[in-house]
Amino acid sequence: MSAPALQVGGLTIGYRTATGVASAVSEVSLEVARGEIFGLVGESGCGKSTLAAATLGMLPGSAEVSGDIRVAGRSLAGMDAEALRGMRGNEVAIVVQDPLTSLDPTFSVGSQIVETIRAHRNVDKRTAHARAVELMSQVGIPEPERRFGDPPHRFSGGQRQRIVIAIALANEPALLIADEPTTALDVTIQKQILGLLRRLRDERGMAIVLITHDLAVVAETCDRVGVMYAGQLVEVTDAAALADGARHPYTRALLSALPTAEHEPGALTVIAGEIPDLESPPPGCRFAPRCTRRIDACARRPALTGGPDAVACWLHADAEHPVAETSR
Amino acid sequence: MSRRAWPRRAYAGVALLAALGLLSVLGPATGLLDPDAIDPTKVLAGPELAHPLGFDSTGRDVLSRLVVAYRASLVTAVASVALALLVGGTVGLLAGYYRGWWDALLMRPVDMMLAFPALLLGVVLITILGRGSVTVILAVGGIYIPIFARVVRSSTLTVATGSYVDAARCRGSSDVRTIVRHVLPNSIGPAIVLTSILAGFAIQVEAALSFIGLGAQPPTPSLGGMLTEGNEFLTQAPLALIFPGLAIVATVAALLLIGDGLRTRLDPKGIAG
Amino acid sequence: MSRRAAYVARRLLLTLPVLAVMSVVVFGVMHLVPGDPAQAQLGLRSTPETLAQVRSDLNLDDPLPAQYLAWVGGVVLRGDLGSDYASGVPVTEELGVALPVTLQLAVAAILLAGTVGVGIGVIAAARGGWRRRGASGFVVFGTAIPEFWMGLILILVFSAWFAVLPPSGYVALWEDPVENVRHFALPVLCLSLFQAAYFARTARTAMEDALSAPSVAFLRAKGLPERQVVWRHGLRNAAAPIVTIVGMQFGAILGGTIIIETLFDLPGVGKLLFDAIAQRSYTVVQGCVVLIAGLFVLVNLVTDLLLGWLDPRIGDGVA
Repeated sequence: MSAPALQVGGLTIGYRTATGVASAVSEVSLEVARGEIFGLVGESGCGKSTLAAATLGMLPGSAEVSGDIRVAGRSLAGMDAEALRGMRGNEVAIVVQDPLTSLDPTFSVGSQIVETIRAHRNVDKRTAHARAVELMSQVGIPEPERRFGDPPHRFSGGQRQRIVIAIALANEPALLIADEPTTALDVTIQKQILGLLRRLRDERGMAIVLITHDLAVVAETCDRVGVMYAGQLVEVTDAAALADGARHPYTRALLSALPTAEHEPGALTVIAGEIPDLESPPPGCRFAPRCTRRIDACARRPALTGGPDAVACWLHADAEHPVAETSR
Repeated sequence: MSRRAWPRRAYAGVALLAALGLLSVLGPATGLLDPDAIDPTKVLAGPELAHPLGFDSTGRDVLSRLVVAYRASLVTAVASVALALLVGGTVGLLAGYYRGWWDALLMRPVDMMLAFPALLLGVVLITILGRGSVTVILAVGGIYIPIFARVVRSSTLTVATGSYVDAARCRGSSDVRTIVRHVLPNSIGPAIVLTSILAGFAIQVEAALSFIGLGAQPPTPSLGGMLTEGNEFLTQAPLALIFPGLAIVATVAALLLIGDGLRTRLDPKGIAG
Repeated sequence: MSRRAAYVARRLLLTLPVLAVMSVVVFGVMHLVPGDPAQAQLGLRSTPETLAQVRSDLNLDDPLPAQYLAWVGGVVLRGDLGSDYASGVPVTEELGVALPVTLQLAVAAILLAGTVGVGIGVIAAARGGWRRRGASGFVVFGTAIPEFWMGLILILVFSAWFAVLPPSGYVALWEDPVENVRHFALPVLCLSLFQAAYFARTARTAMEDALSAPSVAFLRAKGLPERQVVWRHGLRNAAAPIVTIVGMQFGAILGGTIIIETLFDLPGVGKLLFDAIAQRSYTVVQGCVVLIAGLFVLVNLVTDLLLGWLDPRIGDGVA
């Protein structure tokens, strides 16, 4: 049994600002196995992009990090800049939201795949070229040999995103981070890209962390899903069970805020309140100030329960799933 | 208004310029300087206590002439840039506000003028207008009119979007009112930055034109004219060559620093280049 | 027609109106100068016979548009720019002799300014720190120093105090390469300093913009080594504004040759122009201005083509 693609243990990340330290990620632990698509959801500012950056070793200099991240069994904590560079685009790769700004407009798409290969593998240009063409065809670009030399602006948005995925796959990473990969695309293209991601999981056993704020995407594509709020991981559950089985009050609130056919017209549920100021967050559960089911115990931070369906909430602590208190 | 502080280098520029400006204004007032007094015994003589820069080829005090020439240069630079700002800025404002065929009509000649290298344009203008202190101002101003026109047009286009103009018209606001009260204050920033920078270049161009004899005519002192003389008597009186040049370098450097400082406040997008 | 070819054709066509208007302006110079053009041409050498000769040569009794057309026709169809009435030599011949000198000066200056200036700017942007501050200082002083004053100082130092370089004169490249370089060293240095400073500033800003683009973050996320990110991708993206400015400044260099050639006594187009103005030799003035402006237009065209090649978006007409 090979090591899980991603292991995060007690990760805490803060950004030094002019006025203090903003706590972007707080005591997050999760695991993503090979051949699994793990969805990571939450509002803007919940820490999911920070987590992604941390997995790539691309946090800015103002970041203070504690805890551990292991990619394919290798810990990022002790690595220097050169070692981290060696991991990026190699063991772990990223696909981001806007494919137009990801690709360099002045170079051909083929050359951008080739340079990714040659940055990590000692192969000659012809081999790399052939592999690039093969990758383009695998992600579904028609006539890849002819289009190898075309610059990015000659492709549609969906095709550009496929090329970005081809770049990400070039060195067969164990872990793929997809940060809102379909948000900038229209719905039909979205379905194609998500289908491509599922195929990658099935055919290559790739582990994918799919970051999104769209719960429908999660339901359709992910195996498991983690919910983040204000830097805390509040729930981890099977994606299939999400709609009915969600237990954390925040998750339930998110689900009820989705417009569906059952809602009365004009009555969209809104979660009252605002996300906390990350420079001085509430001491216990960070959702507590907005939670309709808040109890006194919530002033102390609940940890995630163990097991496949984990939730960080005092309301769901019982003898079978004891909830320990954590320090932050 | 942003809270960005003026960068330190802008202060250095202001200080330098103020010092030079004060010297050139107060100097003559002290009565110690006499740019026209000729002492035939002192032709090309070296520095003395009362005459720290020595004497020129006619026996006149170099320092006095330098101060007067410098003041003349400053006046010329200010006047020509003011002229260029006024004319060029108006053209650019109108072109950017009304757009359409006004824009095409006004900007064609501007683009044509921009196609000529600056000094060449200055030479051509002087050729047509004749030599002299006043025509120099017109010629140098003429060189920079198209540049102001381009920059002001650019920032006006950004500020006065089409719907903005329509909205004002709907309110019954006359065009002049809209331009003066709304468009102008917001689009003038880059032009101000340009003023500082081009004032420096104007000093250089004026000196270049005077150097080749196309500027202020002798006996009026001019920095370029002093350098022509310095060229002729290169080895005998190097001070007459070095100091006018240093004056130009210091002034232009100061104006550039001020311009850079202004840019961070008034022109963050760098429209003024 | 491929997209590239269409782009090239479009740029070529666009130069025609520019040239046309330029020709009108140049033609106008002679007629805007106060006084009788024929008299002005001949100056003190005029006699009733020569005056009549010039008047008929220049068709001065015809309406202005006809004169213009005749002049343009002469230039375009026969390459005839008239004669230098002072020396009797056809203008085209005088220009032909002067052009190689100016070209060597201008090309050397732009190459020197380009490599040094852009190099300083790129390094300042990529590394920052003291390099950036040093580059800023270089920019300010390089811009502030007048070219001709620098020439005088250099002559003072290198020719008068230390007699290592000649203060003036010209030796053709094919006659004696070493002497040629010695005579061109100071003039090229003068012309290039100002431009190098300007290029340094442009290059630094362009590189900083290029390196802060979102695509750069993705390049780092792919695990590309930093030097590839800067020198391969950053430079290529910064190239467009840099190349545009370098092309534009070639014109400024051509303008600067007027003074520098006069100062260093180089028999190029700039000196020819200056002498012609002093002697009121207007056909020569016209010829020089046409040549300089024409060169400028040509350089702009080449710049546009280069831009199309560097940035495929421009080449396809989408940017």
